[in-house]
Amino acid sequence: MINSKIDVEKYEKFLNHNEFITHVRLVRDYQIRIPHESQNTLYIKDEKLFDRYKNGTLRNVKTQIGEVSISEELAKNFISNHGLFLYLLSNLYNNTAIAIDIRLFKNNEIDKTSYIRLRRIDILTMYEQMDKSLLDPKSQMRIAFLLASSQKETLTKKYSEMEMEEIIDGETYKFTGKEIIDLLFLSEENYKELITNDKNKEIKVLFLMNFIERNRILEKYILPNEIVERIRRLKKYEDIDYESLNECLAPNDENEEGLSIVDTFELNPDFEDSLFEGLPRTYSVIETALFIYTKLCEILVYDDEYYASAKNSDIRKMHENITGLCEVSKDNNKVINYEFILIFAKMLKIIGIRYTLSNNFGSDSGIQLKFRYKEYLVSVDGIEVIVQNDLARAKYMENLTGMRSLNESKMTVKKFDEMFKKVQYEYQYSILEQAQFNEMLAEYSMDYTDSNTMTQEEKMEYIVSLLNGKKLHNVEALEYLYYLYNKVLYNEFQLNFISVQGPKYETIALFTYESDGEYKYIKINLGNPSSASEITKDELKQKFLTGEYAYTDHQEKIHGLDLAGGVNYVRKPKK
Amino acid sequence: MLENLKNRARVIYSKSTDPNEKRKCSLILGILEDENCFLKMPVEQSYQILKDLKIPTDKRIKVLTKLTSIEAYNKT
Repeated sequence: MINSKIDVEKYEKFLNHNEFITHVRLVRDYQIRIPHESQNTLYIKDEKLFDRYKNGTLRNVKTQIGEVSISEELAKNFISNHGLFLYLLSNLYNNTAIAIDIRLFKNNEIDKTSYIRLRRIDILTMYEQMDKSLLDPKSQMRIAFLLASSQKETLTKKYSEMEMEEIIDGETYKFTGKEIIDLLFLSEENYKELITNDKNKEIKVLFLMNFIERNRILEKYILPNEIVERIRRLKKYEDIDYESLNECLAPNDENEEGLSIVDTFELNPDFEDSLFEGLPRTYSVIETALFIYTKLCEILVYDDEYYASAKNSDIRKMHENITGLCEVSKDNNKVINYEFILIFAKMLKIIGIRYTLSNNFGSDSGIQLKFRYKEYLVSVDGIEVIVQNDLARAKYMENLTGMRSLNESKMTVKKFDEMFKKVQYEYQYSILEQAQFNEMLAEYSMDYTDSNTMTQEEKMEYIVSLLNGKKLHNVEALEYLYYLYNKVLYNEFQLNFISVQGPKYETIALFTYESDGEYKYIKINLGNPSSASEITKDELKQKFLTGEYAYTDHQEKIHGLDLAGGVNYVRKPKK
Repeated sequence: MLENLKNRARVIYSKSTDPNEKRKCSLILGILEDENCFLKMPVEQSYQILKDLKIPTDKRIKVLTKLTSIEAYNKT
């Protein structure tokens, strides 16, 4: 906080009052009100002096944050004149970024259009570059003092005791000033280590950049060139891309009842599952999002009847009711742009990606979705999807353009574009490959495969050999059995899951098939999948009648097993 | 193992003078280009391919098991 009266008193008495006037005197002698932020301004009464300061012999000074033109006379005066030097010092001690702020006082008024404002870095760089051998010893000493005040040691002393706290992505982080300054002045080796191996590098860099920005470090201190260059790169999110921090923290998609809009509808489960079919297992979360987007573009079509229809038409009403999205499928695939965006948003939520939506719901006007994953900030423009027509482009295997990276870092954008192209290519290639594969398989099946190629016993032997020796937990065994059943046996076999009451409850899979006019039964204990064995009809019946076996829920009854008595033999939960 | 099966198909193809046999081998080779083919096909076709590649009867179930095991499934 500037204790301006004392500061002004320090330098005022040394000023030439024919040339300069301070704000204290302006208030006292002219009753002019000076706003607080202008209380370190110095006012020049001598118009010619002001003109020389502004337009006289100027030197172009290249500072670490840009170029500025400074009057040589001004620079020399502020270092040689005691009053002006004290003025300069007062701004330095008050830690302001502005070192010299001069306005013209003419005709008893402050000229608001004419001013000279120099940042500390401007005047300090000027002094640093000046040929000091031409100056008197006192001026040289003053310059040395000023330059020392702009170095790392002064910066460290000023800020190292500070405690800093920020909320980033909803979590509170704390750093000391010393930690931040150490980060600022990292050696090249340690900086490379930070970029490559530090898991919290984005957080640290955001902290650092906020510190530099808020305290106007680059305007107050002369930093080594390599540090300035590093800061310049970090500002553009090069080296470390932290741009996505604090983005998409809230989806911004709540409706009037406060519910997230993607939670107000469900997708058809088969349709939802189909969006993951063919997804390579090696794909990362963001590649999965790109895959799903590509697949949605391939499956869905734009309902151009909506566009052509009247305002209150049935087709408009149908599309404006988003609960109807539960009926979208491969066969019922006409959507309008915001429906596409909502379906995609829902899928992003399922795979754990944060997003925000622009709030133009319920109409076919522009709706944007922005999502974020690690360093990537990505936009999906609903209009682009439709107008540039990614829905059509996907069908002709052309490059999709409705999704793009918003990152400022060219490297991140390049990485995203390459990743998106790769996902599209692999998706299109897999479709082509699959089509070729299906064609060949169909031909082979038609001309060379006999439906009696495998006997039922061989099929059962195959199932058992697949399970033999496997260590599968119950749920894994169940899933794998379903997979095998659908792949191998569903035409000729029945599969039931039976609850078995013993010392503890267990589940068995029971396969039923017909052989030589009789039903045969193979049971497999899910806890021990290699335990496959045949069970006779009589044994099976007995176990049901005693209650040792029961159906786990209301399933299709086991073929050939006649359990009389009107009991449904479903295991009821214990009370 | 898939590479072994492809080699068998190539050998049968090169030794055969029957155009139908050659066509069958060439279809099998095309199908085997997909490294997940055995996981995608109905089991009867998988078994038929092993038959056509003259895998001995007593070894077919074992080979089929290896090609369609849960380990093979988890690698896709």
